[in-house]
Amino acid sequence: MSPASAFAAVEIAPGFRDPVLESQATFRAVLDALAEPGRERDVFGIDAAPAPLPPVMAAVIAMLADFETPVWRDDGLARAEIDAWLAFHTGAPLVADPAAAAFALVGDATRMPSFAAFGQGTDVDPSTSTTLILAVDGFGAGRRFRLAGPGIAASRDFAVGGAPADLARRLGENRALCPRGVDLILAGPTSVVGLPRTTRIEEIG
Amino acid sequence: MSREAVSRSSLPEDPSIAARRAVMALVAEATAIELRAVRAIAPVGVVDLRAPETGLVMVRGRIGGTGAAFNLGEATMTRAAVRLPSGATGFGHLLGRDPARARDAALIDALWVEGTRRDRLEREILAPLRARLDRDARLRAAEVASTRVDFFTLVRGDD
Amino acid sequence: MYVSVKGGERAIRAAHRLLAHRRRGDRAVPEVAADQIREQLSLAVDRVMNEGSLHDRDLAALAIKQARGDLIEAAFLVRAYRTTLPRFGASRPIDTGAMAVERRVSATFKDLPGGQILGPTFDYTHRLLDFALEGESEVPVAEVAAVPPAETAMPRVTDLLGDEGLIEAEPPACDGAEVGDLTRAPLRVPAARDLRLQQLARGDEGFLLALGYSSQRGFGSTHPFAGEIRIGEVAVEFDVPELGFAVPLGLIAVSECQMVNQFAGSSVVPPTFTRGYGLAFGQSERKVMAMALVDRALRTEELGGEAVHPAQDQEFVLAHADNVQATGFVEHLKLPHYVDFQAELALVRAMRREHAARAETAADAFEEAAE
Repeated sequence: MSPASAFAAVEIAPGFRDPVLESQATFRAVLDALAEPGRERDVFGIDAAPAPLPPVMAAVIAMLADFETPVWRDDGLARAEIDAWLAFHTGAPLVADPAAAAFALVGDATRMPSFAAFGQGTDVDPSTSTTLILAVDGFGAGRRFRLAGPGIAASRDFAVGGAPADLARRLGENRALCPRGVDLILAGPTSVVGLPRTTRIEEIG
Repeated sequence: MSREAVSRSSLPEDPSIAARRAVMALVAEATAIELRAVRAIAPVGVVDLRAPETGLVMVRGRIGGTGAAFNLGEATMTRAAVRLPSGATGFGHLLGRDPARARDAALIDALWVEGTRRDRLEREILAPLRARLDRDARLRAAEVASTRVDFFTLVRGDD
Repeated sequence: MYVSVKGGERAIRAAHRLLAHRRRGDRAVPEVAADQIREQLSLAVDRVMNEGSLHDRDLAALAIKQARGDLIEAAFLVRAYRTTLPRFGASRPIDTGAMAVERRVSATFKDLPGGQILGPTFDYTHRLLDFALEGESEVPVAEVAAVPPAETAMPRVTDLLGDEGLIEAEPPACDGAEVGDLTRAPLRVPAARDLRLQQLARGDEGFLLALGYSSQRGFGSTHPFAGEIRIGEVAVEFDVPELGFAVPLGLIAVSECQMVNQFAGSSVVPPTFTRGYGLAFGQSERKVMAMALVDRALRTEELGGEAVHPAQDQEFVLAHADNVQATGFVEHLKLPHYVDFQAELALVRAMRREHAARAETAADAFEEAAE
């Protein structure tokens, strides 16, 4: 559905109530999450976002995306109401090729494509890789991981429910590409956790 | 002169779109005070689809005037979108940072699209605006024309 | 190396207050308003819009007032403000052929279609200070032509030359092709012409003027003629996806210069006229002339020449044209470098000791040899 017809036919759900303050607060949370990998940061989600787009993921993408950042979304999120909502609130072009995306929305993290399918950036411009926003069940329970690397004093343990079973292996391969590689933002029900490409990760059961 | 330039630069298109664009081009040159008059014509119950928002447009030129595009520099612009109770939607997109002006422009566009109040819109806003802009354009053209060079060649003697 | 030093806050606050006080100047003199700057110092406003890379006359005027007339500082303020706004998109390329002309001259054809229109120019003034402007003078309104001209077409001079095949064609415009944007991706050399023109358009007028002048004086001559200079208003149009057509946003004033350069040809190009192009916001004639000279000079290599002079050197020109970048790096030298300098002091002292010791040894050796 094109944005033009979306405008005429679909009632667009609201985005941020206070776009300036809420996007700044969300930006700060994501910035902190990526600066201190594994540490949970609270985000006020956009509850009015069309289902099944999770409210925290909606807030993060509404804050990050604009007309110059192509957005890819997985099959479960590729729905007309969500597309129209993204088009109106972000103006971002929606792409089918994950490698072309600046941001990727993954609603079902257990069935996500290989990280290699997304934009990896280049050695000269590593910033052009895709940032993945993964919906997860929550933090504090589930698979447990030990993290180390920039932004972590010695090591940090964290637990996440609903992440891919092979998260540690995928992130290990991703880290080997550094400075290329994707960055991850895990979006829980009320918070986010950042896993940038520089973080070393091991599963501790 | 300039408004003709706007319509000249756009090629084959639907006549209703051309007419709507011509109104938008008029409105884009109007002052905030000239546009404010639309509030007396607009019905109650207008919904702000997009509250007025100021941002940037990257202005492009062409290499050599006719070649490939390049980015000249940005300009401030403000946009707004409204919906009338009848369902007609209108858009305001104007250079500058005046939110009220952009919303009034969106109201004019919505009323134009709606159609039922076009006569009043034309009589109270568009016609006086068109007359004022034509007057200004004629004066400017005459001022500029006074600086046109009329060359004449002096007869050169043989000695 | 930088270390954080505390203790300056009170002095900084007082310095800002003193700045505001000095900016106001003698309070017996009326305060200048931003709209007075916009209307009466409009060429300064144009320069700040170009170097600040943001078209907004009111903002540029305010920046000039705030910066006490320091135009580079004003451009800096405008650039900083710009970063607070979202970008909605890019305009359709403006059509300078459909300009409502305020000035249009050609140094190559006397009787060109549409005529020579001097407009509000400093040319032919005698550069004598006008003391009538000291007080509040009665400024006569502009003369108006008795018979307003029928609208005459004003074809570009380059198009006239193009009709005869005497000037290189501009590469066809393929709309939809990616347009380089140095505000989004860092500029790298060699850069394509779109990126070069973007950098020149926001570049420092003085720097471009000096480079253009250097090329005229022989540091990479381009044999230029001012084919055409035109100044006036053009429409800006913006594609709105929700509407599906281009919306007119309003008019902006721009200046355009087409330099026509005689070119003897090379192994790759037959003798022909080549082009240098300048485009800028507002009435910025010197800027667009200098820009067109430098644009042509930067094309030396693509026309089969060798870039040996500064104006022909992409890295030299593009890396140093932006005065906001330049002033940041030059002016950062006044920030505290106490630790760096302590290290330098220790190093220089040590080197002096070694130097003295070496000199002494050498002197001893000389004496021994002499004995």
